[in-house]
Amino acid sequence: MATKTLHSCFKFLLAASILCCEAQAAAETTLYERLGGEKVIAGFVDETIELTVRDPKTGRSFDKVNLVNLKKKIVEHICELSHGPCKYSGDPMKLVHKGLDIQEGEFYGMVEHLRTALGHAGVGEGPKNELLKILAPMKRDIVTK
Amino acid sequence: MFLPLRCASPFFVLLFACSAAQAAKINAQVSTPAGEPVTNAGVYAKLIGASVPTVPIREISIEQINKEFVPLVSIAQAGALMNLPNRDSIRHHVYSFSPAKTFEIKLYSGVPSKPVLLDKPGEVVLGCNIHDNMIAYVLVVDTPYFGKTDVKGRALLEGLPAGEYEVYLWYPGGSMAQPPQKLKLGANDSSDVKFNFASRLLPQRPATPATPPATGK
Amino acid sequence: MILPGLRSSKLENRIVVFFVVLLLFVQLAGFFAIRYAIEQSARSNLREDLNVGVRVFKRMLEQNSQQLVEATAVLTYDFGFREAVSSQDRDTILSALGNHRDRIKAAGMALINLQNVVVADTLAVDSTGKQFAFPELIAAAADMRRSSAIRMIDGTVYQIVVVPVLAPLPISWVAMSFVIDDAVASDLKRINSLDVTFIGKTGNSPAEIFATTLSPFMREQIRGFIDNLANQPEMGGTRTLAGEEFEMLSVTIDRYDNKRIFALLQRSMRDGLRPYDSLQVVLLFLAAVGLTISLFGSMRIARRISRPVSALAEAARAVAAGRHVSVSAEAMRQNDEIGELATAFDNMSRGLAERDRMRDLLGKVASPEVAEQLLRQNIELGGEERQVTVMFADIRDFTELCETLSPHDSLMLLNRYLERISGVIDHYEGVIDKYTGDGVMALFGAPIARADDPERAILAALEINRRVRELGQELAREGLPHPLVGIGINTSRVIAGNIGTASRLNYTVLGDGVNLAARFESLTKRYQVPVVVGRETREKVPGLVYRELDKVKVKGKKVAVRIFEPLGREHEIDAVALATLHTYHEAIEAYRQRRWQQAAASLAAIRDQPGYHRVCEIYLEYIRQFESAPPDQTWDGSFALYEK
Repeated sequence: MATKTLHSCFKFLLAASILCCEAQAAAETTLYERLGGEKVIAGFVDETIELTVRDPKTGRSFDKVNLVNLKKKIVEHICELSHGPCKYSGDPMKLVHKGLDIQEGEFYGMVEHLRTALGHAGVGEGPKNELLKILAPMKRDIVTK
Repeated sequence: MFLPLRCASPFFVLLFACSAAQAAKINAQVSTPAGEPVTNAGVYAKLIGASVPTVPIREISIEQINKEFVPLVSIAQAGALMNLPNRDSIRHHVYSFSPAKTFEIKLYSGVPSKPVLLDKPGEVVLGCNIHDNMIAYVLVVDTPYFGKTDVKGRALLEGLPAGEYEVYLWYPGGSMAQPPQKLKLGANDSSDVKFNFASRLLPQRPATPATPPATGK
Repeated sequence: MILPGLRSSKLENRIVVFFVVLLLFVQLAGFFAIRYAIEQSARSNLREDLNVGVRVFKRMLEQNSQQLVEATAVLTYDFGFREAVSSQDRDTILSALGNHRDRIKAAGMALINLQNVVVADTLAVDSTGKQFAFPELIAAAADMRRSSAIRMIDGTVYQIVVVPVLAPLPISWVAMSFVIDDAVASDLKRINSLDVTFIGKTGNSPAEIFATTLSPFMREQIRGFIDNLANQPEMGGTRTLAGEEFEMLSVTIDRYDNKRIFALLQRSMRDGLRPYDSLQVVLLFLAAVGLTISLFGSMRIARRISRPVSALAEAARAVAAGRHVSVSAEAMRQNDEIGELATAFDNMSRGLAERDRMRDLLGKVASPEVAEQLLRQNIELGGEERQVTVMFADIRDFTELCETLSPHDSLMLLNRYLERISGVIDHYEGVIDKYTGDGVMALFGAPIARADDPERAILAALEINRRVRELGQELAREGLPHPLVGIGINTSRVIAGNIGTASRLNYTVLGDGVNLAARFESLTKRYQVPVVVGRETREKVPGLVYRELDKVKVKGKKVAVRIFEPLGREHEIDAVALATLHTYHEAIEAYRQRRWQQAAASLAAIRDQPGYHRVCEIYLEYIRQFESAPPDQTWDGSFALYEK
């Protein structure tokens, strides 16, 4: 009985330590690098914005906005958030989206477009999920309550 | 510098009362060679030989409504203040690189603007860094006597003291290649001045760059 | 199978050669037709490729400039850059331009102000105040928001793209330049697999090649004619360079001042034909296989024809030589025309053999001609009753006459007579039944019956008489005996058939009528006439004139028969003779009616006419006897013949 418990504890510790080491190893390379660097990020950001602007369900808030600067700022932002060598020079998300009255549906719509663009860019499942996890908390700042 | 409007008001009225007795008018008409009226043209008259009277501070307002500057064309005397209230719920980043006034205001939506002093005469073109198609033209002149032509191409310049004038035509976009018209005004004269101007359509609003319409497929 | 085989192999060879040559011809014709079609198809495909290539090429240049413009928007919309531009901060501007140039891999970038003056230029960092060399590009960009053109600068060709810096109206222009070099040409070639050559021409100077995907060798080859290309807007066609055929198309890329820049697209016909190479190999292979099969097949067929044919020829030769040969069973078993031929030949051979046997048979029996006729008509030789005209022709007193001659001479004499007689009989198509020692027995109407048998028999008899007289004259001159011939003819129903055994057959006739004919012959001596015929014969040949000789009762027979002598056709007999004949007939009629006196008187009157002496004497003797001893009531006017 006691040996059984001891065995399972041992197995658990072993598994945990392996996972820990893997995470450690993962932490060696930045998400920025694992996403593929600036070129890849610029690519999927470009596609995401294009998809979002063309989709009538998500394009409203981008009406007449200069997309060139917008994409540049977003790339900068993601670069910084994924520990890349950039400094985001734009304004905080809350400020940027103030007055735009973004709805939840529009937000999730854009997230879908981002997923699509990430897929087309060949970003792996791991980095993709990591990125989405980082960006998720912005919903609070973006979507109007 | 400028004085707050409230402080100047009695002074302003007095001056007005004094000059009311000597108020001449200029009725300006701007048309194309074909006879069509030219709107949004600026007409201003410079008194020759006399110095520019100091006038109380005037203020103009150029609002941002629905991602547009309203009005498109404004005229103000040098020294006037320009308000830029943002009536949209979204932000605008207003700037100008014109030599007459270079400035930028990163506005917040809903927050009232700080006025901009228009100190030098010349043409000031406003734009928004976020919305490329937003444009406004401000002509800053060094005379208090000016007007903007309406839909019928007419502008009324009032309160002119008697004297000799040079009357200039200005069209937004900077094409001002017209010599001024000379005019002598008596105390209560009401003169007509006609300008012929082969204008291009509008003044130009820059086309929306590369963004496909929001009504997508 | 050498010598006899040689003849058959000639036909065999001819068949084989014919089929092989025919197939070869067809294959060649087909091959060349297909090759021509392939070439036409390849050529038109290449031309299409070139046309498409031109469209792709133009599109690529367009897209290229589009991409560059989009990439540069990042720069021209950057607020900091715009600020630097408006404040004419040259250092910042240069730094930004340089950065961007590196990013988009341009050759150079420059900023040009609204007065078309170059404010900053990454390619000429220190110079200021120069006019932009291509103000037309600025003007175009002002209209269309960007412009793109190809320009030659100092011997190099560039693609130049101009975009405005907007704030929000244009405050400046950014111009980017990209070298068009061999690398660019290679990129283009990778997309549409066409060789590309960029060529520029200034005024009347010779055209220059700026960039190309061609080998240096090929480059030299095209130098010769590119000058001509410059004068024509778009030129396409086929050209041979260094022995290789190319499809070409030239397209003008840009034109300004006195300069022209164009691209020459080309593709080798060999490339175009390559997909068909394997097809041609397959065709050749099929042709070879086809030829081989046709060779062996035709050899087999030829053999199947020529072997039986030469076997049949062999057999025919044997048959011609008289040997009957049976055609090989194998040849007959063949289920085709050869088999039919073999079977037919075999039947023919058998038939011929049969006929030969028959002819042999009949030849012994009848004259060869009749035998031939018999064979042809397939007549039955078995016994049958039929009406036949029988003729006996004897040489009178031959035996006695020949006592004066040697046996040899007798035979010779006999044969001379027989020859004459036989000749006439043959001529009148009678069948010689037998030689009766000193005469001939002939049949008219057996084995083949004809309507005019009796007529021919009588005419033959008259002719024999004439010929014999001629022979008699001849013999007289030779001092030889020259007897006369007596002929008896009777027409009646007889039995005709073969008498004897299988190995020795005699075709002949039997019956009373036959004996009667012999009697008639013996009566010719009595009445001293050459020919005696019976009543039936006379009735069957009405066209002649006859003298009734008598009425005779043959031994053993109850009924008397009238006998006649044929004299000839009426027109051959003169009036006097006819009158005499008439008187004679009246006389014997009177005799038969027992008017002795009358008869005697008439007979006496004509007794001295030629040919009448003997017959009149006979009747006068009858009369003398009957005058003394009249006949009884039963007398029918006939004379009883007791002797043979």
